[in-house]
This record gives sequence, structure tokens and C-alpha cells, in this order.
Amino acid sequence: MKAGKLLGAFLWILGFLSLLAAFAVLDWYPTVKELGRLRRERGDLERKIKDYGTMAARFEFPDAGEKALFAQSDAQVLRALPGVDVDDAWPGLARADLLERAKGLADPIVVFSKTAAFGPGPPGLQGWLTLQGQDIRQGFSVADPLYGVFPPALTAKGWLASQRLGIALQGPLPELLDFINHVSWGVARLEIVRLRMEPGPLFTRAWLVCRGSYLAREPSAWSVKMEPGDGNEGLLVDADSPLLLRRVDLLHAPGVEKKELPSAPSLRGETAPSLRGDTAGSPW
Amino acid sequence: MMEQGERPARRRRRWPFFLLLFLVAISLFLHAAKALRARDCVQAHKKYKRLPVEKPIKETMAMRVRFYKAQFCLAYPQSVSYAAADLIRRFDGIIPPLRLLRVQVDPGLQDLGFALTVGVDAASLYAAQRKFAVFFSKLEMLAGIIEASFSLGERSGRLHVFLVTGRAELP
Repeated sequence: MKAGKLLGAFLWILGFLSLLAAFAVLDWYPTVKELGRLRRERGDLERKIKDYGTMAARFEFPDAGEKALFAQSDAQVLRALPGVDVDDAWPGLARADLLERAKGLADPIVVFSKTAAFGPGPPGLQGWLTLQGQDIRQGFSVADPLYGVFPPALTAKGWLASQRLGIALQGPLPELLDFINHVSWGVARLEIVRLRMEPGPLFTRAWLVCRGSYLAREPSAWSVKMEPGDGNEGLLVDADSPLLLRRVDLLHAPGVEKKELPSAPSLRGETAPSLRGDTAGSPW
Repeated sequence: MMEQGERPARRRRRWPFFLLLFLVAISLFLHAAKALRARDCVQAHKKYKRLPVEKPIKETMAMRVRFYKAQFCLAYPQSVSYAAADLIRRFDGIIPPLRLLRVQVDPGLQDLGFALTVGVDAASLYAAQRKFAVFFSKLEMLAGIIEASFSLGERSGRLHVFLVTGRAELP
């Protein structure tokens, strides 16, 4: 009799627990989950509305001056790119530009667009370049062009392309540094990708791997793929920056500045090698 | 007597019903809360959609981003060539009496990576380290140096080699 009662109570408890589990699993849990999702969604929307309110209060809409600046900026980028009929013409253009700049150097510079052969040059420099071959090849393989900054209208003007160019030279350090500083000043607007310098028996020796962007008439192996919406070239721009709420301020935009290297010791008391005019006393 | 005995038995029969009612009440409460929250969400959505000038703001901000990027791109080649040459000039200014055996500069978009191979002529490693420490402290003090670290390289006779790597600001 007692055992029967116990069994009955056990069955009741089991039945109750089953019912509770059924409610919890089939109704409560999905409802609580949905409640959480709705809470997050509402929170997100409220935050967006609040952020927008804050942003809109401080936002300055563009005026005619700013719109003109935007248009001018796109035109400036287009103008900055040299145009060539065929890709093979670009190394020639850059080479002519560099040779013109290197006129003041004691030894001729070596300009090469292929790492297989560096071309003729001073004997000491040739041997050194051969030793550095692997590192130079590595330099040629790094870094992609900054295609994300080019305006979408660019494709109508031509095909954006980018090539690498190597430069090797030797001479007194101040002359080399002066040349390196001027390397980007020409029409080819060469960007230094890698630069190496080592002291030689007589002079300091250096090689540079540079990158140049240009507009070509026809697509080629050097063409840069510009897919719609592509702009992720690694340039850091803070989308939440308060700077973007205000009209463009030219003080915040780095202007094209062609600066000569300092010719006087700095405030920290550094000795400027360019003052010496030769390598006397220099460890190079 | 019979009535008194039946009351607990009736109560026993009713409690499953109350229990079920309780479970249903919890369910109803949860569903009501969900309905209220869903209504709030719909209202918030409507409010967000009604924001009048969100699109022009986003578009203008994107144009401003592109403007700053374009200006950066225009100035970048000159900025890098100047910074690289100036960095080497400043290294050269602080290197004596040590020997700079190699300098490599790898410009990035925001900074310049550099690697130096420095030779120190000294009889012992201790003496070389002391000389090198003087140079390294000067290097760390150079304007625009973000970070620098060093490791000991190979030794060749009296020449102890130190390898320095670091990053410098791009002006």
C-alpha cells in the first residue's frame, strides 16, 4: 500500500517535471531568446539615433568652397599621374627624370627595372649590387600601390598602372642623401619602397626600390585592378573622427612639400653631415 | 466526517490545475513582454528611418575621407623621401665613434621602419655594450623615434656587431 503511494507520488513529480521541461524548452527559452535579441536590436537603434543626433548637431554641410575643393582634389590627383602610351615607356620616362637629377653626382647612377640584370655602372657598385641581389628582389616584391585614393573618374582617363624601379648609386653621404630627398620630385613621382645604404671602400653605396604610378592608354600586366568600392589600401582613416564633421580644413591636409635637408645642426646638437661636404670624420 | 476527509483530497486534485495555470501565466507574461519590446523596436525603426539627412551626411563624410586620402597620396612620395634621407642624416650625426655598417629604411604608410647594423670596436663585450648603450640612448632621444630595440649580432675579432630595429614617425 505504502509502496503504491510512493510510486504514485513519484509519477506525479515526474509528470510535473516533464510538464515544466516542456514549457521551458518549447516556449520560455525561445521567448527569452527572442526578448534578448529584441533588446539588443532596440539598444542598437537607440544608440544609432543618439549618435546621429550628436553628429547632426555638430555636422557642417559642405558649402560651395568645399565642393570646389573636392573637385580640385580629384583633378590634382589625376594631374599628378604621368600618362604614357605604352607601359614600356614608363621606365624610360622615370630613368630620364632620374638621370637629370643625378647630374651633380660624381659617379653615374644605375637604374634598373628588372632584377635579373642591373645594367652598366661603376665597377665597385656592380659587384655590390650582385651581392645584394636577393634583398633587392625582395624589395621589388613588397607593397601595393595606393589605388584606393584615386577618384572613380580615373578609369575614363586611362588605366592606372604601377611599376617598380631600382636605383643604385655611390658617393659621399651628403650627396647621396640629397639625391634620395629629390628622388620623388620629378614627373614620375617615385615612392621609395625600400632603401639600403652601406659604407664602401671609398664611398657610401645605396640602392633604392621605388614604385611609380601612371596612366596607360591600354590595360596591361602592370594595370592596377580597381574594383568598385575598393579602397582598403591600409590607409588609416578614423570614420568617427570629429574632423569629418567639419568642413575640410587645409591645415589638416598634408600639402605637397618639397623640402631640402637641414644644413644646420639641430636643436639637439646633432651634427649635420651635409655641412661637412665630404665624408671626413664620418664613419661611412 | 466524510466531508472533512474529502477536502484535502479535493485540494490534491486541484493543485495540478493551479500548477498548469501558473506555467501558462509565466508564458503569457513572457509573450506580453516580447510583444511590448517588438512594438518598441518597430517604433525605434520608424524613428531611425525618419532621420532626414543621414544619407547626405554619410556621403559628405565619405567625400571628406577621400579628400584627406588624396592629399596624403599627393604628399606621400616627397614626405617619404625627405623623412628617409633625414633619418639617415640624423643617425649619422649620433653614430661616432661607432661604425654604421648598414642602414635599411622601409617606409610604411604611417611610419618608417628602420634597421641598423652597428659595429663597435672594443676589447671585450662589456666595453662594447657600454659604448653601444651610449649610442642607443642617443638614438632613443632622437625626435620622431617611435620605438627601437636591439639585439647582439656576430662578433668579428674586436668588432662587436649590434642590430637595431625600430620605427620612426613620418612627418
